[in-house]
Amino acid sequence: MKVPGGAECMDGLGSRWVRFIKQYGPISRNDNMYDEQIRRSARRYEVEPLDFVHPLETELFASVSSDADNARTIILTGTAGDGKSRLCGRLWTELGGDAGEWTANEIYQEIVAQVGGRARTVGIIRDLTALPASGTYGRWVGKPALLEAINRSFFEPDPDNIFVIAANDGQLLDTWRRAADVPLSSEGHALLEARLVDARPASQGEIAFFNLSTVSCATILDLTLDAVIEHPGWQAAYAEAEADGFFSAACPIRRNFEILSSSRFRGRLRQLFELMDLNELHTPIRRVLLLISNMLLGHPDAKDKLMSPADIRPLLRSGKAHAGDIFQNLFGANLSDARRESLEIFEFLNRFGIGDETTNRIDNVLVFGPSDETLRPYYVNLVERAFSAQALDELSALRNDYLERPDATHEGEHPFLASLQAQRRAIFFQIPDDQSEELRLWDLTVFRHAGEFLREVVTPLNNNGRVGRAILGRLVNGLNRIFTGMLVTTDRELLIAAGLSGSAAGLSQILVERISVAPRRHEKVELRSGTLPMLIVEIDSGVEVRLELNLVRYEFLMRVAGGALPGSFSKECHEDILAFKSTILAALARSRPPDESTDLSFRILSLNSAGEPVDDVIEVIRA
Amino acid sequence: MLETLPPPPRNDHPNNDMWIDEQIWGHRLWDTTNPWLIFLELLGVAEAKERDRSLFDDGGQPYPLRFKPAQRMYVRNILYNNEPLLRIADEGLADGAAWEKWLTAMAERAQAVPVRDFSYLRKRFSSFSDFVAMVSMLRGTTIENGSNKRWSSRFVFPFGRHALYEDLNVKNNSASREYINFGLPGELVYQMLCRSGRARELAPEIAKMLDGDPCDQLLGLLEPDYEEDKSTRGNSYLPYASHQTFEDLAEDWLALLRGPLPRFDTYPHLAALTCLHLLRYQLLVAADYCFAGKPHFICEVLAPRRTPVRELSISNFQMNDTLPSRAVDAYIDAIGRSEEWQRRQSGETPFADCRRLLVDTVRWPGDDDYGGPTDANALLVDLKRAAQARHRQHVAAVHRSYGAGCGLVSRRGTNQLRYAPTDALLKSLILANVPTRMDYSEFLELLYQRYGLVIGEREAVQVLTDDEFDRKSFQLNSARLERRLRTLGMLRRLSDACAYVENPLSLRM
Repeated sequence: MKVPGGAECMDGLGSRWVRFIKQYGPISRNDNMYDEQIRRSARRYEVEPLDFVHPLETELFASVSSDADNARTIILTGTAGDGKSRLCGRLWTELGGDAGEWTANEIYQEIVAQVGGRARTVGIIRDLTALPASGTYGRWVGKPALLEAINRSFFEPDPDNIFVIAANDGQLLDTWRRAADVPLSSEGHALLEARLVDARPASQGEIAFFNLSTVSCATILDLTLDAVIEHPGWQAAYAEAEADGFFSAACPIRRNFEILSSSRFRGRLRQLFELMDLNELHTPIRRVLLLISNMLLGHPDAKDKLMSPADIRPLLRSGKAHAGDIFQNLFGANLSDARRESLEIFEFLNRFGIGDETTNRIDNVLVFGPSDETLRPYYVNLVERAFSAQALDELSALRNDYLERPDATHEGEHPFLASLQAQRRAIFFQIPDDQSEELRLWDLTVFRHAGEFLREVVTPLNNNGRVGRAILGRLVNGLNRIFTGMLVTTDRELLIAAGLSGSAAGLSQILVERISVAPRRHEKVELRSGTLPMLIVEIDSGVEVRLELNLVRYEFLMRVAGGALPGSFSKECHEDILAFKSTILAALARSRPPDESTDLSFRILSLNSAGEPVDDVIEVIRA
Repeated sequence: MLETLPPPPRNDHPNNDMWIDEQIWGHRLWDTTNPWLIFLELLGVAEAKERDRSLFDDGGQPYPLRFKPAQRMYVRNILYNNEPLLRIADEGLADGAAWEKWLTAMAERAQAVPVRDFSYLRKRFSSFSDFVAMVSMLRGTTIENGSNKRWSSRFVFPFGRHALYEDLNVKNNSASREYINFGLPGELVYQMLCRSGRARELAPEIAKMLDGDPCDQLLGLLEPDYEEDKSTRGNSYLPYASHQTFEDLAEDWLALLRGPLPRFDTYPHLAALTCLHLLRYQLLVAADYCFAGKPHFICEVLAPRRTPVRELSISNFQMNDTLPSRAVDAYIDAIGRSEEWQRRQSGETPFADCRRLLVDTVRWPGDDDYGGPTDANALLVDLKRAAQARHRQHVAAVHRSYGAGCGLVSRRGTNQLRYAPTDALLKSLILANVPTRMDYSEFLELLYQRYGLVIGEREAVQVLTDDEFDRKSFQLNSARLERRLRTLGMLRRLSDACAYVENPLSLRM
């Protein structure tokens, strides 16, 4: 089809691909929410859908293979957008099902397959919630009958019928909770709850349980980014580039794509995702795709706040193209406040406070960089390379105006100050790894110790290494300050102190025990790897108390060790650490019961002038 | 209508010039107090009754509640009327000299003790400095009590029976009962627990609160071995033999005391929830007198700006705030409608007879209280005026005072009072109601059923008219609560569809 002007290019693969990506973004009619719709819109735009192997796929297929040890019913659960339906479909073809039949959108489908050594009937429920109460499901008439058959498959040793059930985690438990009349349902509920909430096997019954929410979001980011960046649509877009329009050198979509593909940006973004994992924040595939779409296409003035290929020429012409900036889009700055706040991924990313946190050094670069000889190289590297020429012109005009009249006639603060947030965001992704120490990269976030946490704690532990003594010492010092409520300097032993009037007392003056950090008898304090790094306090042989160190707790302990007041950073953490102390106290009471002497004595803790704790034993005589 | 116990003999309360608030809610709900003081007052009664071997056992005689609270004047002089202690400690005297100096000072200074002799302490402590350290340590646990500086009204943390004593006013070396801090609501709470169906189960749990702690033993050793003179108290009056709030209160107490929290850690939660149940008691009883529906509390989970939920909460607060005063009017109206009143009004000397009836039932008017026309109806009108004036002084303010005290009522973020529960109150509610974990929507329903708290849409739709109900804003309200509980470590969201409220002490780590 030939239309005058460059319009035929607008129908090229590159353009169609970009419009397809837009469907993943935060638009009100989110066409690519569901697997079925994705396939439909991929057909409409005539593009290859995004494809990657889900990290759990191999394990999932193994559980239904003919040489599996046994046959078990499979639960595929997780939050919305984790990719359950897609995996279900893949499983269907793996079992020998016909892809065409799957797309028929039947909620329940059955297939006979070789599983665990012999032929069995596998019933697949692609969406448990959508299953009508009355309906015929294979041999079973009505949902209760089907649920009963599922329950039996949980508890039979070698079931002839197994099932594959995809359901959101809440609905999964809810279905079993409501099915109280169906035989074995309360046992089934206990089994599912144990797997889902406590992540442990139940005392009886067997299932293959796949909780897609446990997949690390850093892994998901890697997979989705690879799939997006390597898509042939981009090569087509380069080929279709229009002068002063879509995918020209000044096109913000192209710019954003190139930054997104760069290893520096990807590396830093991945660190943020790793830290989200370490903060126990899970992000499903669908929301990662939403983020990628918004990073590439976000623009505050575009329709739906996302650029389409046809928007580029007018945006460039009106001089507003540079507002579609990946560093701002990443935080949802192109969206309205309400929209941004309603999208969890932006809430997670904004928790880092990137743009709002800063250092004097960075702000000096931003304000005086262009004119100061020593700062200028930093300005060139960090700012000039991060922004388009147009954006830089605008910034320099603002800066000059600010330097001349810092508090001019504007209402509120000078607009240059507002632009600092955007500049700091860009800088955060611009600082190379080898300058991250010098420029104190992580001081640009709320989690100033995040870099250290990744480098000194998480990485060594994941590589079966050990955490350095200095780090452990500071953690112990932070714990001691919280445990005692005093500004102690102790870092070689853990001071287990109790308050007189319960945990709520600010000061814990009664020393119960000192636990050595370095191994001594059976005492020690160490860091071990796990889903999260774990701080282990060993009190006696086999008696351990553990604290999972997520990012917030790590930051909290490090800041307290650095002199911050415990109440000022996070109330939750403060309470967490006090609860940890209570657990240690309880373990001590069990492991070393106090002798039942008639003496009344108090071991009172106080500080000497060096901040070292000294304890005096005061005895009171019953006379 | 609620069935009340007979009023107490008039001479038991010679200073009460009217008996209306008292007959509706008891003698007495008192506004100028706080959760901790009510809690201490209650424990003081429990201690005295336990000493008498009659803890939560009224022997079938609901009135009067007689008990002999401890005074512990030696300990109180040592802790709070002991300004020389630290001064002498700072002088750096030899141990013997320091003791001598302090004992001499106390022989001058101590008040309301039989003998001003503290020399028994020398045998019990190895040194004067040990003694000073122990006293300072105990003083550090004093219950904060606002502006009250009087030493005989200061209270140490309730470590056990030796830390419990009544509020006193000491003048000219003698102590008399003071009602400023212990204004009797604690005695009402004792009777509520005692009349609940769980009293027998509660007795051993509360007895455990009285003994065993080392600090309690230490406080015991700060007193000489002697039998202190105790006065019998028995002023309070709770007009109902049973009430739903008594049961709710007792259940919360049991849940907390039997739960995983260390004993002392339960105390702030016990104090807050006790105060909340007293507030509910006042409003539920008032609603009954007014023939109004069971009161509810529309709670705003603190929002950054004005929301429809805040508006509803403000008007809900104002409605509830008028309930007690409407109950007083309703109580008087009921007298006017009574057969006895009607009979006397149609008699030969209606005014004198009706007046007599009022004097007998509500102890009003006294000789100089009424100067209006000699008309029975005018008398009733004036009674309402006088009763409301008296009601306004204290009882009317209980709703807002207890509401603020337990953390339900606040002005935060606005200039009008409304229901906006604090984090501390939310934590208390979770610890008392969630043994390990509970589905979030179940938790919201429980808060409504048990406490009348309305937070989410499912509950709001039950108490609001179609015009008032705004689904979206209650959904947001509930989402804000969820977020707050999450930051407090008391909620885990598994996904969009699934959130659990968790008792942070039974899980975690």
